[in-house]
Amino acid sequence: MKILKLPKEKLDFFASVVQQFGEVHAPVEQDGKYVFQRLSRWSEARLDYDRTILPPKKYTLPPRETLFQYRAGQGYLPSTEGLDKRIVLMGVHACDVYGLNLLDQVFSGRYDDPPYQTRRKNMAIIGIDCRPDGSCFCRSMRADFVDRGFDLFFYDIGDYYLTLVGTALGDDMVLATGPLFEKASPEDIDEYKRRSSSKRQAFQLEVEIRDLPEIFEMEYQSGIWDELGEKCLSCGSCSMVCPTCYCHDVADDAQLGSRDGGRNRSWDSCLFAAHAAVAGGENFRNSRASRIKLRYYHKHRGFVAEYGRPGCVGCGRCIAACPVEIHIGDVIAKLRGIQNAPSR
Amino acid sequence: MSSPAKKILIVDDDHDFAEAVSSYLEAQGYVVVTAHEGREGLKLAKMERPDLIIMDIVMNERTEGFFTVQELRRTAELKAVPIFVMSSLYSKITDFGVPPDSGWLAHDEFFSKPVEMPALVEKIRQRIGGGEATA
Amino acid sequence: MSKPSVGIFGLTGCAGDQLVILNCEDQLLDIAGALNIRDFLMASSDRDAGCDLDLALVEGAVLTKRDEAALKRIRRRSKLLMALGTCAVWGGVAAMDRDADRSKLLGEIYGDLGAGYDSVPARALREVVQVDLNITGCPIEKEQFLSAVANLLNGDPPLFPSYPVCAECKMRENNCLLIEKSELCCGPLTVAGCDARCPGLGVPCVGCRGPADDANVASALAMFQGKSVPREKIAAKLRTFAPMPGDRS
Repeated sequence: MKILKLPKEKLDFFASVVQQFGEVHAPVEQDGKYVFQRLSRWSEARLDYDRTILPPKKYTLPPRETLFQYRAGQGYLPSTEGLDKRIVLMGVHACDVYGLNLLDQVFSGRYDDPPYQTRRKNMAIIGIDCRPDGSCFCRSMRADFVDRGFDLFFYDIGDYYLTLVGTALGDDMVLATGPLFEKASPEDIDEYKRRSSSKRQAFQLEVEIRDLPEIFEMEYQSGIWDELGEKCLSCGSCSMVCPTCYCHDVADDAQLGSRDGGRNRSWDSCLFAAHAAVAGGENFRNSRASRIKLRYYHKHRGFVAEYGRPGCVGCGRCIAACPVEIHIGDVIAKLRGIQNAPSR
Repeated sequence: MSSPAKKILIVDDDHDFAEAVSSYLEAQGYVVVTAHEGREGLKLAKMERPDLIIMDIVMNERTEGFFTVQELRRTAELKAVPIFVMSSLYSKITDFGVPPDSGWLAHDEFFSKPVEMPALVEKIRQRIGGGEATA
Repeated sequence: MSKPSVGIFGLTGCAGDQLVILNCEDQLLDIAGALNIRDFLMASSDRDAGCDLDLALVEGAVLTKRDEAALKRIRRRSKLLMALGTCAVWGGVAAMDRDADRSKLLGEIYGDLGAGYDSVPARALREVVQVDLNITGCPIEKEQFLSAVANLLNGDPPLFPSYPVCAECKMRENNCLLIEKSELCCGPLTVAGCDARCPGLGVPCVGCRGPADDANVASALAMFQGKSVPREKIAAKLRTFAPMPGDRS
């Protein structure tokens, strides 16, 4: 793997040249919070952000999209709108790259998802490292460092970004911006190690996940689920902002006066009352308690069974987004029987 | 019957430079409008629909011109408008180093400042024709 | 197949939902072409007040005995009855404080005339007759009306979200007024479909579309009180467009 360094003061030049690979998007400020957005000037970028409202999944799995148009008796035409747009997403934290990698697994394999795959392919990822805040627990979720799924990854080593090249496209970016990069020295690598080690100590929120799936199994009847059911608004905010929540609804919508129409996909959440309703009127998760239990179970137990690790990347967005302050750290602490919340 | 005069938009935060080029081009029979920063330039481009745009690079921000060129190329009605980039960036900030002609910048011509006016006008004429003094 | 015969009516209401239908300017010709609109007084005085209908769309709440009789007549002549708008679906603004002393209210507003006034506590349509379909909204969303018509013509019931406005706010990546500004935003309790238009403009949701499926009023109340908003203010806000389940304060 190629390892170089980029002077921080040349990042604006880098971003200018990299525009040839696609529209440059980065975190920008929105009324005190952050969102990934296309840049119209470099100064809009806020690479020192804590978290964005929506994760990068909004690019590869948009909140609403048309899958195909159909004509009665004639078949369907897959929708290609916006699929060929090339984006360079700068400033993605490791947890979010990790989240994309997990979604990649969900949307490939046996049921390959062409719209997701195309959008993912057309999105270059330039990662950046970060410092954890009180809601970050990516280290506990093993998502504080990522070794794939990005084209370049920047590590702050003072006046420079130590740059790891992840893919051939990343290499192309380095070649295109050639004069901007310098070779990394042994001192630079030591600085990286120093900072990496200090970051490990900086986490305030920790959860133990080693036997968590089993504890979930043991606590299936726990009263905690009813408590949460009383509190939860079933608003779905946590699902919307989660980097790895991918539940979606698919519905056809007819055109007026014809049997033609479009098949649309839109974000859904297992917390919604109607999510587990089936034809005939039966609803498998009528109570809020059963729904919020399922969300945690899927994220920390079901996903493990299917993909070998929890779906949660510890980004802390659900903590920030919950109007009634349901906190995953508290839930897990309660399940583990620890009386006080784990945050220090 | 003479065709309407060609319109040129100059986007440059250097008021003196913009004024000088503007006067020169107007003397050649072009209609000139000026903006002094990227966003203003984009707005003016949408309103005035120039035949050609002269873009500076270093304005309020060092790379403002680069981003503005991209914005212009993303705007459907302005995508095909020729853009001449005029900048002292390469002479002033030598460690930028990435040559503009390697295909990453969606411009049509690059001029290093200071600019030779007759050469500029010649290039403009080649692109969009002359002002009133049609060849 | 002949075009379905349709009637569009208003009981006691602002007629805003019927107006949205007429505001579908780009689609009006298609609508008129696809449906046989026989009775739509707001659009045309040329109406057949007695014919059988395949579909009746009724706006407004039942606030008078006259409304009740009209609604029952409409129900009798229609195969399908659709409640149009929050007043028809939930009772709406008219149903706010419907448990109040009505004769006292009438006296306050109409003086001596009040006593003889035909006025009954507001009811949603489904509290009077069998209702088959609902499009809520204050007013309804154009897109939902058009989608309903298009799907019904194909024999399919329309599919509308039953989840809260919060979901649409997040889909739009709005800042959360509730969490960041401690505003009294009814998003978590209100049914989506409006694309979180108001919060998207920085205006807290007032709940005009009525409750979302399984709205957790108790938890929301506790949460609002935690923001030091007086209980009466919260109750008043929540009761504006629909009698909230379980709220008796």
